[in-house]
Amino acid sequence: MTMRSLLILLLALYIGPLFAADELEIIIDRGVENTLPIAIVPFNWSGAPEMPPVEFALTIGNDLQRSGRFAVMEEADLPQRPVQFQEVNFRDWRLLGMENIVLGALKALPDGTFEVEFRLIDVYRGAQIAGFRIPATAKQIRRTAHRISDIIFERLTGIRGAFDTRIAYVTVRNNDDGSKRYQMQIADADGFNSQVLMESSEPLMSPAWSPDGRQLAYVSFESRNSSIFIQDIITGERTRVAGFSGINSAPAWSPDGTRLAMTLSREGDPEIYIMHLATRNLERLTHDRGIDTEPAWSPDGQKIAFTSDRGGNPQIYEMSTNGGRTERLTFVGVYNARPRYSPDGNSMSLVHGQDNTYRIGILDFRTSDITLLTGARLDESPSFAPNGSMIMYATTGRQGSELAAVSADGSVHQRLALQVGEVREPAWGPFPPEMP
Amino acid sequence: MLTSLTLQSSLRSVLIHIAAVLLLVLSFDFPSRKTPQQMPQMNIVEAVAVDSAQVEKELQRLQELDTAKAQEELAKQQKLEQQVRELEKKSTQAETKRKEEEKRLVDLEKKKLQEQKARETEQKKLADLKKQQEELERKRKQDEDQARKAEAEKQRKEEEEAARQIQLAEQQAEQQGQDQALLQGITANIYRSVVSNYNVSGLAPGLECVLIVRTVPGGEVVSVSISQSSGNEIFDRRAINAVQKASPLPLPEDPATFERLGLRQFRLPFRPQ
Amino acid sequence: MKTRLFLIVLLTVLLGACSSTGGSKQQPSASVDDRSGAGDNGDVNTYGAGEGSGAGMSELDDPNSPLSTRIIYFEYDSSDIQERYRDVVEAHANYLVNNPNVVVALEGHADERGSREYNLALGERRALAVKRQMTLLGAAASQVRTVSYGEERPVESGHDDYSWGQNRRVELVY
Repeated sequence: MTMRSLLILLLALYIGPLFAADELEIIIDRGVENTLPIAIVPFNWSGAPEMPPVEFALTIGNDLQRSGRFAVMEEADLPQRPVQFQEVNFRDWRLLGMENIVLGALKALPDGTFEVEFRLIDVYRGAQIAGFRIPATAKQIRRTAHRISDIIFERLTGIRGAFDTRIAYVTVRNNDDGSKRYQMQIADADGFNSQVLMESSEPLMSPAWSPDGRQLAYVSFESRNSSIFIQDIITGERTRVAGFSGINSAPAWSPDGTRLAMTLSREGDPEIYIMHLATRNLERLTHDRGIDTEPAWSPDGQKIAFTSDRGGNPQIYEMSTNGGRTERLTFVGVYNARPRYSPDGNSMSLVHGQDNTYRIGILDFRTSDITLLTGARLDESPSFAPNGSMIMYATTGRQGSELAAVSADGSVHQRLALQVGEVREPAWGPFPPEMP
Repeated sequence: MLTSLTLQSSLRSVLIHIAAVLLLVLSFDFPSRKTPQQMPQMNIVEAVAVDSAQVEKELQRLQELDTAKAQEELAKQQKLEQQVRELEKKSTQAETKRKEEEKRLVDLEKKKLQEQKARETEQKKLADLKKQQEELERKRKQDEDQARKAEAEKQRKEEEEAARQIQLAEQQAEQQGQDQALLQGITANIYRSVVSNYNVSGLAPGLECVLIVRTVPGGEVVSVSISQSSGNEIFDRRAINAVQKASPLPLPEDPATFERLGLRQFRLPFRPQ
Repeated sequence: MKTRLFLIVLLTVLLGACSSTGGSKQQPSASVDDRSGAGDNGDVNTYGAGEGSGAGMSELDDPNSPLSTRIIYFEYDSSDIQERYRDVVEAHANYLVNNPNVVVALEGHADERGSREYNLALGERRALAVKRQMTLLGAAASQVRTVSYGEERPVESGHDDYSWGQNRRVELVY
């Protein structure tokens, strides 16, 4: 066989497959990190002459926007306002590159309740992704909007939404006589529907949700010293579980809800204890001369992270809940405090202090790197959303402390519009019980 | 041993005689002779001192010596004779030997001749063989040449055929090469277009789906179907949306080119890293 | 509130109630309003307004006396008592020694920087540092009570060095 005939063969082999039976194949091995475009058409309102009790499209749009994962179309840019699936002009939406649209209607029923229905539509497939009709009382109507946000979020991102959740926080108001009014409040995750849970002329601190969302533990100075209380959110019934001499603070529920980790200095200096709630028995976890405080349970309940200055300055340490070695987790900077595990247990939020600024950071356990998410001077009290997608924290603004949220990747920041006065120490509650 | 002694003694007697005569001659002939100045006087004194008794004694001694010498000569003669005899004997032996040697040489020569003859025969045989071989070789070569010629002819024909094929392939390849370049460009454009519309934000890692995309000239996406699902609805939907949003894809308007390049339908595996 | 307590102490002292019997238990009104349901008001511990003793009359009267200093300031993230407050602590310790029935409350505070719970611990550490010094100087441990408010009760609301300096403190409350 000559070189030339070999060449021919090779040529044939080379060109062959391109034109043979096999069809063209293009491997898409990468994409872009983008927000998801979504349009929420204002819900049709029927049943009464007055205005609907909740602006559904606005509420849902704000939820999705705040998550950092969605780009919500401005209402003015909507090419049409269909109410029914059949009315959707897909071509128009596609021309705008709009991938998903939400249609809905709110109907007031004669008995004073409401009926909400909505459809999430895939524009390019021209198909419905999800559609529900949800009955709601006037009181529940706003939560219904958040539930819809949750459904949309989950169907489009694969992550359970955390819009229909609540937050607890502390507010401080100055009275005219110079005294202060402290309130423990809870509200929807977007800051609406706030309720006062407890009020005092003495400071309140450190709200902590029980895993079932039914109780709140917190610190109150009403007895002129710090004490830990547990309060039932529905009944308001409350119990002081720790009122020893010295500090009684930093309550943290175990994931199974049976134990409460806390900081007590009744034996001299602040140490971490675990209280078994059924018996009120205390178990001391740390034995260190320095400050040990701010315990946080790992999602699996096996470990407790805490702040300690045993190394000379505040850093975060971790220990097994059944004793054992204590490991230092943070090594970057001279001030790392207030650990909170992310729900997936892969990272931890914290307060990172450097050069007189205190910012919210994320410690990635896989890399041991701390990424700063916020950029103000005095940020504190980070709290993960139960789905880990966002972190709420307190930041010092013009009006004093106020609440802000940042997406877990640090890309989207938002301040929560709450009432005037200081708002601090947000604690993001757990997922609500699954919808029936 | 005896012989040598005899010879020695007879030689010595002769020398003594000569010495004695010389001595006498010198003794008497002394003054007439020019003598070197250094000639010691003592000899003269001694000569003067020689008396007849001494001469007599000397003569007697010489006579005795002669007798001894004669005996020695005899012994010598005898010995020589003996030697001659021995030599003769040896000579006879040598002659025999020589004759034997000669015979042997003759034999050798004869043998040589024989061998020469045999060699010559052998050589002749070899030459014949060689000749035969050469003949064979020649014949073989002839055959080979013929075969080669035939082969060359065949090859020439093959090559002609190949050249035709190459020409054909080259023509084809030229078209295909152009098409290939075109297709590569189109492929790259489709890739870019889909990637820029493919939102991977928050997608679970490790998933893969394969889409079958049908298009028409100009790139309008007619349909997107899932050939192989990732099992994750969101993952599949993001892939489909990427293709849909990329429509119209950057494809040729010309239907002939479109068909030749096989762009009517193609596969898009989505496997983001 | 603090002003009121101080006045009560001053009044008690001025009245010169020698070896008074029974402290006037003053109830600071920590009003607790539980809106969402039932709930006790907590058993509110109170700190006595101090059991007066005539011995300290002149000292308290004297604005130049170290006893008139009722606030000790601290450096950032520190509970070390600075040199300039040694005399103050000593004067108060002596006062307690001379008035064994007097009880002082040491309220530890921190500035707003960093985490609240850590600051609560820091405030306690500051109060305990002062208590330790006082007991070393002869005051009975039972005469010194400590409480930490962390950063919850600032005296200055600014977010600057001056305010922070004012807020890192231990207040001596008789």
